[in-house]
Amino acid sequence: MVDVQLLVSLAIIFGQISLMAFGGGNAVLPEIHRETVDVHQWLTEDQFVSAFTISEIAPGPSTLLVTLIGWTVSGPYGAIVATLAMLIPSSLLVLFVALFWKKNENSPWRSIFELALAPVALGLILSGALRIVQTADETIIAYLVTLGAALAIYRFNMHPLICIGIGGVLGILGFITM
Amino acid sequence: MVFNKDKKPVPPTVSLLELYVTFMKIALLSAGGGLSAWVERIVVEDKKWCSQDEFLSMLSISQILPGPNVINSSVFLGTILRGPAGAFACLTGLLSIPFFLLLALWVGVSSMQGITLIQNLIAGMAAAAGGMLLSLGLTIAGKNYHNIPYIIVAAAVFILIGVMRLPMLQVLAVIIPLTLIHSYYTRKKPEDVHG
Repeated sequence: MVDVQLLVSLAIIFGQISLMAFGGGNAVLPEIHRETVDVHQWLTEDQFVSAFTISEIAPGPSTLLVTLIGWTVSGPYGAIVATLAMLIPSSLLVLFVALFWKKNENSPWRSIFELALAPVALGLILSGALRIVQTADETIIAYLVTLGAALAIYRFNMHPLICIGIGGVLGILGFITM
Repeated sequence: MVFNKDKKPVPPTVSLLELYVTFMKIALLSAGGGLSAWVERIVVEDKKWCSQDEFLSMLSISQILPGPNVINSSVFLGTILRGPAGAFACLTGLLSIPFFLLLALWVGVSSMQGITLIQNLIAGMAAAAGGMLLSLGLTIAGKNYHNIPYIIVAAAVFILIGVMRLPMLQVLAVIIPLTLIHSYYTRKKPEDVHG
């Protein structure tokens, strides 16, 4: 039997966390840990760490950590409920903002916002690049891969997949991690 | 590209299936990270669904709103292109493969050896993905290097959030009003004012 009460509390907890995730999914990681490991004891500390690791290394958004938590708590239904609860509230908010943005396509305010926000995004993109370099690049070869990829794509128009493939091969050979 | 009377490009009509497939592709391509660089490359450069500035402002808004950044920008883009159905297509496209892949890994990869192998692979891909983001940053900066205020804002965001690791929301709460005021006073006055 499916434990409906358990699914409801999964939905409530992740639904709330969804709207608290200012600054992206990683911002609410401590809260997810507190609710699922400390308060409800759905996962052990070890389970949480390996779920986190797998969600970080697998393709796709790392927010799918909640999918693994839901699965551990209540099987396939838990996985679906936790994922939807984490996605729907914040996505609905974005949907409304985007509809508003689209509706005001020709308003002068929209172009003022576009002008103001584009350089902010550039700063954020560069911050993201720096963060990847700081966390992923543990060896000199890793730094060379990052700089080489940047140069090859920017200057020589190389397809990023080639760079990422080379990076992956070097990774498997053990050149990237310590 | 087609332009309407306001000289703005008319967004092309994209089928929901194409949105779904495109975001499925983006999810797989961005395995090592650098997702916004892949979205930019495919959506702006290959498919020309929106301009680079439009994309950048969507990216900023998506990061300010709560929720995972990647998911927010997919929902935003889907909504702009095809309304709520488009948002749904992008979101499901982005998540369908990772959802099952992740569960398969969780249930299947119990050996630490397997995890280490994947970890090494992804670390190598991430190093290259960092370079891809860097290249996108250079490209955008190169297009706007003559625009001094633009470069100052981008540099301020990068130093405060990237280098000094100050909390993003607080930093943007200060910077965005300032850039808004600046772009309000420097905007090009339209010659004919609409109704």
